[in-house]
Amino acid sequence: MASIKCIIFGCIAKEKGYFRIIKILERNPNISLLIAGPFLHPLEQETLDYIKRKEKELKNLKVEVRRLRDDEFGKYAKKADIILLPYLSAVPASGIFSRNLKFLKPMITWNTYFFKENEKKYGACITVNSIDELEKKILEVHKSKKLRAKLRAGVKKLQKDLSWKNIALKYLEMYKTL
Amino acid sequence: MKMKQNSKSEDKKLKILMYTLDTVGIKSIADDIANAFKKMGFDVVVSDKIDYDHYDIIHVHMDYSQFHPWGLGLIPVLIKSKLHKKKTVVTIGTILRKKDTYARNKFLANIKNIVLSISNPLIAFFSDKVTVMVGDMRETLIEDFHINDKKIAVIPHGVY
Repeated sequence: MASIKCIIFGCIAKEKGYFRIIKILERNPNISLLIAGPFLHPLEQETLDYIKRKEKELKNLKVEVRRLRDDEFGKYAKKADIILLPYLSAVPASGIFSRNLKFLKPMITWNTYFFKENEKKYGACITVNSIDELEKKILEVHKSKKLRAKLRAGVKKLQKDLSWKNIALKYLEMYKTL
Repeated sequence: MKMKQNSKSEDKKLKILMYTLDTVGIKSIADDIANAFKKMGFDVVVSDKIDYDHYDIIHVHMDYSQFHPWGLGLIPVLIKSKLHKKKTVVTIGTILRKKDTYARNKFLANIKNIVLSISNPLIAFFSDKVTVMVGDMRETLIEDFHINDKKIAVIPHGVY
């Protein structure tokens, strides 16, 4: 079986839920993961130490602790098979989910409110509830061309609805009510 | 029709400051909204400094860690803005349920919750509107931090 390349973007934080996918990497060498993002908050030192330690232990884990330029972000997203967001809670401000949309890559996320909303309304991602389900979905998405096409269609629908112009217009409406 | 055109030209006169101390993450949101406004012909600037005299709207994009301790650091900015009679909007990037709040240890998490219980109502009090990007965060502000629901708007994150 070919290696399935997964990626987690964004600044190093416990909230990203790395341990969930790392548990899968430990038992499934066919899945590989790249964690790419800057280290910004000293509070997250423990998380950084954890992923660095795991990188030494696991051949299928790579960690790049630095801020990616926009072109690098795109390059990494295109190279990946699946983008993972196994977050402990909703982190919409990160913008990672939104930035990923333009690459039309399959996204598997944890079942937090924000992602569930996007799965239900648009079919733009797949949400999971457990580590076993996460592994199952990674394998399923990798195997099924049909499922990947369905996710792409969902993302396109979402892109149309939530363009920045439409968002700015929503803010404008709100400014006018102040 | 004429009224509509007048109203549009009034909109164009709005001068908006997107204020953020972030350099990545939430700043990219401020940049994207600002770019969309610019394309529509608005005078909009993203900055980590505030010129209280120049703008009609001061739109703060914040994460608690940028205004330590946990949001209280923003209060003087909001008071100054009020004194200058500016309309102020605060977009909170992420707000967790109190039970999900985490810090270096349990003691700090408790302190953080106490501070957030003070900073969130003050942010709401001294701003004209608080916005969040998902409905669940609106519920968090109402249920866990007792913010008046009329003060909160949900405007989702845009996509590319």
